Amino acid sequence: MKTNMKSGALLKWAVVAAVVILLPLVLPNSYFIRVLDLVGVYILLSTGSNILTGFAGQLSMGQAAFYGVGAYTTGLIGMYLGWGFWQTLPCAILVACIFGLVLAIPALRLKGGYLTLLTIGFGEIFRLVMNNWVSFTRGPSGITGIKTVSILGFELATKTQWYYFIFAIATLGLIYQRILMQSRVGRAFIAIREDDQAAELTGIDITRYKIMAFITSAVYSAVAGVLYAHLTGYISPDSFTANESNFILWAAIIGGLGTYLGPVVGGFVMVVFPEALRALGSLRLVIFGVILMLVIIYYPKGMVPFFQQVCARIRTGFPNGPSKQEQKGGD
Amino acid sequence: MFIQQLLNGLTMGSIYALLAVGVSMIYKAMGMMNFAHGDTIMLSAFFCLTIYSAGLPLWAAILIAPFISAALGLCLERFVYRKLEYGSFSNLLIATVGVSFIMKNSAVGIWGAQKHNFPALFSMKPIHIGSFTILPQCIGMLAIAAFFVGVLQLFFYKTKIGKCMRAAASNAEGATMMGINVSFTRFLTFGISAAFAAVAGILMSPIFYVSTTMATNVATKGFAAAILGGFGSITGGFVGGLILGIIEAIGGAYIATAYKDVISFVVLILVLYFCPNGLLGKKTEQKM
Amino acid sequence: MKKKIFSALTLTMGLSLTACSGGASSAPTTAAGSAPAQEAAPAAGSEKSEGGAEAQEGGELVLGFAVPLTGTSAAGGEIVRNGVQMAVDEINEAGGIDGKWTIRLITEDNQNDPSTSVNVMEKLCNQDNANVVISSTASSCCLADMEVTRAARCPELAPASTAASLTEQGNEYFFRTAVTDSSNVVCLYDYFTGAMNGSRIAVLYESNDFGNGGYQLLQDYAGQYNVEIIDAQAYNVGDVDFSVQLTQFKEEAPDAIFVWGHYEEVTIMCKQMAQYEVEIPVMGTGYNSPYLTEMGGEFVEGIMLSTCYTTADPDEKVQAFDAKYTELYKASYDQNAPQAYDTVYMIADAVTRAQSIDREAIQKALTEMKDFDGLTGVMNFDNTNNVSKTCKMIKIENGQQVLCD
Repeated sequence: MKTNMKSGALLKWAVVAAVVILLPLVLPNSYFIRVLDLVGVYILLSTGSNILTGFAGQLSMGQAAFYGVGAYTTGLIGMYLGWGFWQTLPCAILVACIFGLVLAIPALRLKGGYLTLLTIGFGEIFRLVMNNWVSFTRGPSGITGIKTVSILGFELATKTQWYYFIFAIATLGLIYQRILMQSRVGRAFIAIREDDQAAELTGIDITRYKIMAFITSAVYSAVAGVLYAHLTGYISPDSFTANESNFILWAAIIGGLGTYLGPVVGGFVMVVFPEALRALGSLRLVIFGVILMLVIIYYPKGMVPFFQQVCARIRTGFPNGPSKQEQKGGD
Repeated sequence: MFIQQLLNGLTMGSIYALLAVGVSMIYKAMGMMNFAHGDTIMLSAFFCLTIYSAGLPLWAAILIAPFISAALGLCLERFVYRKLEYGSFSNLLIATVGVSFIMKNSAVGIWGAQKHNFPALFSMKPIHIGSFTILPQCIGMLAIAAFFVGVLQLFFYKTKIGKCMRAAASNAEGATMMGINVSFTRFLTFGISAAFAAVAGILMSPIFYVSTTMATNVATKGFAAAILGGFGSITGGFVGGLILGIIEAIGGAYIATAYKDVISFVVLILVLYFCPNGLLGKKTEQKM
Repeated sequence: MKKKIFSALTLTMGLSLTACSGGASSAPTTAAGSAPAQEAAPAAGSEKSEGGAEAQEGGELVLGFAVPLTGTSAAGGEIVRNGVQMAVDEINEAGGIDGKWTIRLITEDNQNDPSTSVNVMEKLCNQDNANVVISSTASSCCLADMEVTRAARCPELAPASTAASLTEQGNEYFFRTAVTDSSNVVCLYDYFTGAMNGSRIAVLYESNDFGNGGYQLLQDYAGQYNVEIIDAQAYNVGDVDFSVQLTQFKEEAPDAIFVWGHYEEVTIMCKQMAQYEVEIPVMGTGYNSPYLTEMGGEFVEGIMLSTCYTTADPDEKVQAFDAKYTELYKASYDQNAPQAYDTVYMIADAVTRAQSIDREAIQKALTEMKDFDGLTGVMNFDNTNNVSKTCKMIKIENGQQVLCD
């Protein structure tokens, strides 16, 4: 951001904040707010995917496993020990760190298809174990009765209260993503993404940073999982399938890999579109798929760089003229 | 018991082998993971069944289906993947996921979600060798898989176009300089891979029945088999498929059948950890 | 070109936003399977007050229906949908419930995903103001979405979900109209220890809620019937290779193999039993479907199962249903279609007795249901809102279902 644009930027963010805060108040009923709650969860999930795949260049198709790690840690601890959200959240983060590390170790030496398959295998193992280890996880029946969150004695009862809670956490997540990516860590991630051998030559400890990327991503997804579990009150292995992993990666790509706001757009598209298209009946998912394909084909860098282009064009007043922003593309 | 379970694993192994060869080919030529391969298999099976139900003899349906499937593969290459310019690994990958998503949901719209029966291709009478039982379908599938893999090998090593395709796959820039139309060889690879999917689809149909979800579970296993054999190698994919089938059968018998899939994925991860190029993959990737 | 795509995308984005925020006023559209009767129903949905609270003389009952129409359970979903659709059309053609309330059916696809299923239930209860809802086939989806109906105090009926845990949640708005697994276990054990005089069984079950629940109950009742479970093997849905399990069973030679699974896997299993020459009687539940004989052919001859619905039943209601279903949908169906059909009539019965379409009134009337006579037997709800049905043992003979004696 340039300094002379600072006040403009401030105004822009104030408008965004106002919209986010006022949105649930204008929506007619809890169905819409429930969908928005899920958007918040998806923002966190796709931020996790964005950090790992978008910034650090490590393609993961097993994000649903981390999502499930968070949900199951909180669900199981809640079930066996009766702990609440604020006690299980740190546990979930810790467990996610361990799982992130476990996945990172074999992933260090892998690239391309091999890495993809590793992450898919990891996701499938997690789901199948949760599904078949009936005595511990209750298997396919899932875990019921997960309690809602109470903040200093105030219980989140309505979907609207949940909305503010989830969006507060998602906003923190987005801010932290930006801080992290603008730090030395973020630059190291990008260096690894662009060319890991060159990065190693310049003295970047790629082992360390790759592990960091996996762990950070795992933590984001696990937090989303914890929120999802407490929001819905019920979890089962059916929620953490390979299909879910695909959707999470999709959200990150649609939004724009390696952009700060990509996860917001991606999360919105992946959650709201399938619901908004319900009126189309049985063709709904086909059309949804076609929309996503059109984005991938015509805007391979994602929606956010595309919006930036459009904004830049409007600002410069040359609808078809060249713009500086255009070359920045995947920033 | 052990040998019996080993033999049991060969049927699934042949299916994984066919899948692995199909995805390996594309990975080698385009550097992309084709997650729509399983759905191409499913659609081919439906093509075959639809032709058969329309009154044509079964052999005709079996001969025609691979061509329709190949045409579908060629269209996808021309109108979807080529538009992505084979630029970004993740975008190509998610594009195939998208194609898979569209194919699956369209198939539900066209043919419904119910399963359909498919005539048996092999005799149901088991063959006894000593105390062991082998099913004719197992031998038949193994033989057909081996035959097609052999034909592919011959095609890639003995024909001019096959050699060009190999060259383009291992070094696109070099091949272009030598005057090979890389874009065309990619186009062709997709067609062949899709026809291969049809072979797998037809062989699978009597066992799995024809349904929109028939290939969902095995598609990932196809990738796993390809990885086990070293991604990008045809013979590797074939052997990897058989190994995976046997691991599953033996793991299921001695550990727990519900954990069959877990076992195969754990083996996959161990293999990736200890030999990142697959069991048969050499340090420098095998030429196709 | 780029410009065109851009405008198309902006349009869809905009549309989705308006559809989202302005959705309250837009008339809800039914998903797949629209039938003429639906269009004939008066469209008064949007002005109605929350849940149609006041008991009116006549009007429209909004029946919400969440069902998987895409995804891995779509096949089962289609069958349930057909059963519901058929009953709704019949009632509307006859002038509505008690001649006063026509039914407006709103069908939504929940993709067999618990999270989507919650979205769907939120939509049906709070956006479409359904008076009563019918919920999908997967137990995990029901477990996820029943919190929504409880909060909205909207009665929810599950015609195809068997998991025991569903009715253990203390949710008085949730009614299971599917046959419970314990009825099946009792029926199976009665026949096995009685007519078959057996004592040792091996169990093969689906590794999901349905199969695990069944296996648990088989264990629970085993002592009572002096049955010994000598081996139990699970399989994942979609498995096509049972050689491992069958090879083991062949060696152990139990008196019967108890199968808790669906026809897809059971037919494959029976074929492989013939191939591996395993000659042990097979009995169980879950695979009552014409597809069993259609796909299994000669291999399923002699296989037994416990069910609450069979076309072998000479009852004329059953025969009429069978003829009509086959004529309308030109496809086979399993017991979930008649169970779904019965469920709609149970709702109609409750509304008639309550003379109201108020959610609470329907809930109360459902709990008071007495000897409801449907296709799947004479039914009552117990104190946990589980429906009681008596199961029958049937056997496949010459490709036909026949009652075991």
